[in-house]
Amino acid sequence: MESVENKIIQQKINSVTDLPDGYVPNLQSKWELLETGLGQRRKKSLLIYFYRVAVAAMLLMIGGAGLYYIRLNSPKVEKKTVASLPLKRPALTVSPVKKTLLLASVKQQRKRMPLQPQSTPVQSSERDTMNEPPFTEPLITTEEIIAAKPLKAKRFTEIDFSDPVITDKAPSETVLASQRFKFKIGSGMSTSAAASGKAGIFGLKKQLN
Amino acid sequence: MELTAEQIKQVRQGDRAMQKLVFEKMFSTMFRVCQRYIVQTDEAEDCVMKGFLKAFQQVDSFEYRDGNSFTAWLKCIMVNEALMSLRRKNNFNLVPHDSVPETGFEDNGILHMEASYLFDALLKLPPGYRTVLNLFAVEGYSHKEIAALLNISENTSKSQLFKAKARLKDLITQQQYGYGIS
Repeated sequence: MESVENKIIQQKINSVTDLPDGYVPNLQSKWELLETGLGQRRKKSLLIYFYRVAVAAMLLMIGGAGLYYIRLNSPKVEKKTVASLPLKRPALTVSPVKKTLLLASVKQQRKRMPLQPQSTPVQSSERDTMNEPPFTEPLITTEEIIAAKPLKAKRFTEIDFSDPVITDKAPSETVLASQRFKFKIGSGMSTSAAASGKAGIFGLKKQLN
Repeated sequence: MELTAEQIKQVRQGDRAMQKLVFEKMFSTMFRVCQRYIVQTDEAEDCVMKGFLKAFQQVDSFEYRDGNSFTAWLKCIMVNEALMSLRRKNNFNLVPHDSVPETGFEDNGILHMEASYLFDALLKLPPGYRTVLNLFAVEGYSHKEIAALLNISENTSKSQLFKAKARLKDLITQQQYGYGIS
């Protein structure tokens, strides 16, 4: 019933479309007013669009200029180059006796060490422990091994004969006894021969003056 | 007024002649739509002008379905403009229940009433009753939608509608007695 009533109200109210009595609007003037509003709105929208574009462009320019200014005034960090020093062998002086011992122990180590290193430590049996004293390997560092490597022995000593022999002082007997000279073309003279002044195998005589 | 797709296209393109034709043909209908909510003539006229301006500016958003779809779309714009005008003035004026006298009414009063008398009776209702009755009975909104539009509860919308009908029928009865209609 209510829906029928609503429908009736709807139909009757919607059927009233004419203007009320006594009301006669000037549609021409109203249209002109409306047209002005439409035109102004269009111009206004264009103006607002260009305004927005201009503001965006200005912001971009200011931002770019600011970044450029900051970059110009920022302190430059100098790149420091550190010269790389040539690698040198560690100057490790090892005495000849120690050198010999070290070499011997290195050789022993190489013999005893397996090809592949073991992940677990080797545990010796009780019998071995009882009979043999525990082998303690000497601690040898890598530097010692490198230093202990024998240098290639020179077969000869180069002497520049053009260099003047300094004869300010006469060499003493003790100096002569300890010194051993090896000449290029022959073997070295014995100490006794050097002391007596006799010629060597090839008839060379060392002049002491 | 029924508009074809081609006419709508011309309106979209900004054809001033077509827009003027649409304005002149639809002015009276849209005026009556606005007057149902805003009784005063000059305020209803302002509402119509604003509605047409908005419609021509936003015509791109309209989807053409048939000849009457543009009229229905334009009516929606006018109703919204009227409600905005009432909201600005805070003139919904939802009358409390106690102040409205309970009167008996004839069931066939509305059925046999002339449309113009019914319209005049509608204009005499308080703004709150009139708005709810217009939105529910004439525009076809649900109570939930009315509650959301007017920022009231559904129960308030229902009670306002009931009171609006009762008051309308009372006015019709008075009019009938006043005009000597049996």
